[in-house]
Amino acid sequence: MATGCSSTRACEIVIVEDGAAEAELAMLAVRQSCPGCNIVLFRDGDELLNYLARNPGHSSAAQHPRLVLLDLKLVRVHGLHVLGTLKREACTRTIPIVVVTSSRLRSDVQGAYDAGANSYVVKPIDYDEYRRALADVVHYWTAVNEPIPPS
Amino acid sequence: MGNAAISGEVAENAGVARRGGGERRCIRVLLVEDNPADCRFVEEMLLEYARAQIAGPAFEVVRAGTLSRAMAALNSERLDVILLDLGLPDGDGFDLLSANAATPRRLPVVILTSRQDQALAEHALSAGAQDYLFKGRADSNVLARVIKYAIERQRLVQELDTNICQLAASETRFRAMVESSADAILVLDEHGAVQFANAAAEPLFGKPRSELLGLVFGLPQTETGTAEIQIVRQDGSRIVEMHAAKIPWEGHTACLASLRDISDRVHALEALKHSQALLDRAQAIAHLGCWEWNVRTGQLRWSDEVYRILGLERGTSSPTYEQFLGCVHPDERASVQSALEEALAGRRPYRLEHRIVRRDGTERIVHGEGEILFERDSPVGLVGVVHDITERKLAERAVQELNAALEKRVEQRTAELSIANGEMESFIYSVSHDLRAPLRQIGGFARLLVEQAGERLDDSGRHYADRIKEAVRHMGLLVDGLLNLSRIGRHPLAVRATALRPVVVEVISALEADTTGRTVEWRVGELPDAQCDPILIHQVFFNLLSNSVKFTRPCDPAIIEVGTAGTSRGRALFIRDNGVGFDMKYADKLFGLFQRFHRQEDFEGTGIGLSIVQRIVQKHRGRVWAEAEPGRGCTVFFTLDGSADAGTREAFHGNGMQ
Repeated sequence: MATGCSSTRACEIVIVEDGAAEAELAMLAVRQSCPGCNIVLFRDGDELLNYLARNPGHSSAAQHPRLVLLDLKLVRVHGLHVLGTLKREACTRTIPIVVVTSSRLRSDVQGAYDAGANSYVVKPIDYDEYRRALADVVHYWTAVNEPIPPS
Repeated sequence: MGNAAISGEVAENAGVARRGGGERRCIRVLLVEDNPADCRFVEEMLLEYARAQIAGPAFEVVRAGTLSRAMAALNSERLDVILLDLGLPDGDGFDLLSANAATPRRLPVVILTSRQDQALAEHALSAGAQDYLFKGRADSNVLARVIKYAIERQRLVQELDTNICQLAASETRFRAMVESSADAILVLDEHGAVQFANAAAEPLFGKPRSELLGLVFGLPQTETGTAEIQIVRQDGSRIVEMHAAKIPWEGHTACLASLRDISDRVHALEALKHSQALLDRAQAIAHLGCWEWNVRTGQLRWSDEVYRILGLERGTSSPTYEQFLGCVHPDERASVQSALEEALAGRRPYRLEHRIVRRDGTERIVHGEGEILFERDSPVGLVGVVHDITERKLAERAVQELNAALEKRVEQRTAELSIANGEMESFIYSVSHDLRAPLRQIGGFARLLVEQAGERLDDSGRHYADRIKEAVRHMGLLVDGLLNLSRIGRHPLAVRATALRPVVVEVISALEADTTGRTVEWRVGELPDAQCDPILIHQVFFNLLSNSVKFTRPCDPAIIEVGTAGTSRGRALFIRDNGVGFDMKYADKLFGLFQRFHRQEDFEGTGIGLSIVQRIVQKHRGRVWAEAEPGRGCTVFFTLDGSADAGTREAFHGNGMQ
C-alpha cells in the first residue's frame, strides 16, 4: 500500500486540518502511504496562505507542494475561501488541492468544484477505509499524476 | 113608463142646479118593487126632496118590477144605489143581494120592508144591505138621507176593503223581504224573548224557528247600533255582526236585531292579516323590502321593511321617488337614476348594488332589483325589492381581511420555516462532520493501538479493541441512518410513473452479497407501474427486502415474496417472508425510530430502516403496516394511493398476484 514519490525532487504534502486528533490521524495515514515525503501541517487557512506567500521558493512550480489535503471546516477562514484564494492566484493555481472532509452537503461539493478543487474526498468513518482512501489519493498525486516540469 | 117622467123631473132639477152656478149631483136609483103604488110613492118622495133641497142631490129612478128585470138593470145600467123590496113575484130579493155582492162595484142596497118583515130586513143587513126602511113610514127627507148614507157607507166599506187588500199585499211584500233576507232577523220583546225570527235565523242558530220563538236571548247591550257578538253552536262558534233598532211591535217597543254571519269574512280577514304579518316578519328577518312604483299615477308604495332599511318613519303621505333618491348615497344617485330609467324603458332589468345614507349618517349597502309592473297587460312602472346586504358585505370584508391576515401569517410561518430549515441544514452539517470525525478518531486510534502495541496486548485487550471498533461501526451506521432519514424528510418528491418490477429486481441483485451461502427463494409477482419517486421507492424496497434477508437467516430455504394483494385498505404492495416474525402486540412500535425487536448479536440493526420506509410511504400519502407471527414470518404491506393517479390505480387493481 505504501508508495514512494515517483521523483527525486522533494515531495511535500500539505495537510490543512484544525483538529489535533484528526490531523494526527491524517499525518499517520499519509506517512504510512508515502514514508519518504515531507508532510507539512497547518492548523488553519491563514497559516497555509502565509506559508505559501512567505516562501519565495514557492513562486516556481517546481517548489510547490505536490499536494494539499484541505479540510473545509476550519477555524477562522473556511476551507472554500482558502481554496478560492489559491485557485485565483496565478502562482498557486496549479497546486493540486484535494478537499478531504466529512461533509457530503451538496453546497460544499458544488462549492469546492466551483472554486477549482482538483478532487473531493469524503472521509469514511471506518479508519481502515479512511486510510485506504488517503493512500489512494496520495499515491495518485505523487506517483501517477505528472506535475508541471521545472523550467 | 114612469122612467121618462122622473128623468124629465131630474133633468129639470138639474137645470135648476145649473142655474145655481154648479153641476147638481144626480143619484141613479134602481127601485126593485113589484107594487106600482109603492113605486110611485117612492118616486114622489124623491122628487119632493129634490124640489125642496136645492143644494142636495137629484134622483133618477130605474124601476124593476121583477127580479130578472132588476138583474138585467144591475148589469146594464149605470146605478148608484138599489132600493129593494125583498118580496118579488119571480124570486127572492136575497138573490139580488148576492148577485150585487159579486159585482165589482157592489152597489149600496137599502131594503124596503113592511113592519112584519123586520126580522127578514135585519137578516138582509148581515147579507150586505146597508139599511132598511119601513114602507109608508118614511118621508122624503128620511128616504133621501137613508139613500145618501147608504151610498156613503158603501163607499167607506169599499175603501176599507181596498185599504185592507193593499195592507195585506204590503204585509206579504215585507214578509217576503224579511224572509228572503240573508241576514237573520229577530224581534225581541222588552224581556229579550224572541217574538219573531226569519228563515235565515234557523241556520244561524242551528234551530228550527219553532224552537227559537219564545227563547230569551236577552237584549243586546246596545239596543241600537252595531255590535259584534259570538254565537256558540254545536259545530263551533260563529262571529256575528248585529244591528239593533227599536221598533214598535204589537203595541209595545221591541228590538229588531238583524244578524249577519261574518265568521268567514272575519276569518279571511284574520288569515289575510296573519299572512301580512308573516310577510312583514319575513321581510324584517331577511332585511328585504318590496316596493311598487306606478309611474303613470306617480304612486310609490313601500313595505314596512323599506322604511326600516332607509331609516325613515312611515308618514301619513305616500313616499316619493325624490324621497328615495334623497336616501341614496350622493355618489351613486346618478347611476341609480339611470338604472331605473333603463329599466322603465324596458332595456334591461333593474339590478344594482348601491349605498344608502340614513338621516343619522349611517351607511347601508343594499341590493335593488326590479322588473316592469303591468296593469291590464300594459307597462305602468316598476315593481321590485330592496335587500339590505350590509351585514353580508361586512362579513365578506371580514373574510377578506381574515384571508389577507392568514396569507400574511402563512408568509411569516413560511419565513420562519425556512429559517428552521436553515437551522436543520446546519444541524445536519454538524452531525455529518462533527460527529463523524470523533468516531473515526476513536476507531482510528484504537486500530493504531492494536497495530503498534499488538504484542504487548493480551487477548482481553484485543477483545476490547474489537468492541471499540464494533461500537464505532454501529454508531457510524446510526449517524448515516439519521442523515438518511433527515434527507428523506427534506427531499422533494419527484413523482413519475415507475415500473416497480425492475426496481425490485435491482434491489434483489444488490442484496446478493448478503445471501452468499444461503438458499433464498425469491418470488416476485406481477408488479404494477406506480406513480412514485423512483429513488425513494428503491430505498423502501431495499430496506424491506434487506430486513427480510436478515430475519430469514435461520430459515432454509428462505422464501421472500413480493406482490400485490387486496386488503381492507385497498390494493396494496406486500413483501412477505418466512423469517422469525414478531409478536403482533408490538406491531404499533414497529415503525418507531430506533425500535428494535431483536438483540444486536442475533440480528444487527439500527432501528431506523423501517422509520425511513414509513417516512417515504407517508410522503407518498400511502400507508404501511405489517402482519406477523413469531417464528412464522412477516408480511409488510404498503400503498402509494395518495401520489397515484387514477390510471395507476386502475393498473394497480388490474393486476393480481401471480
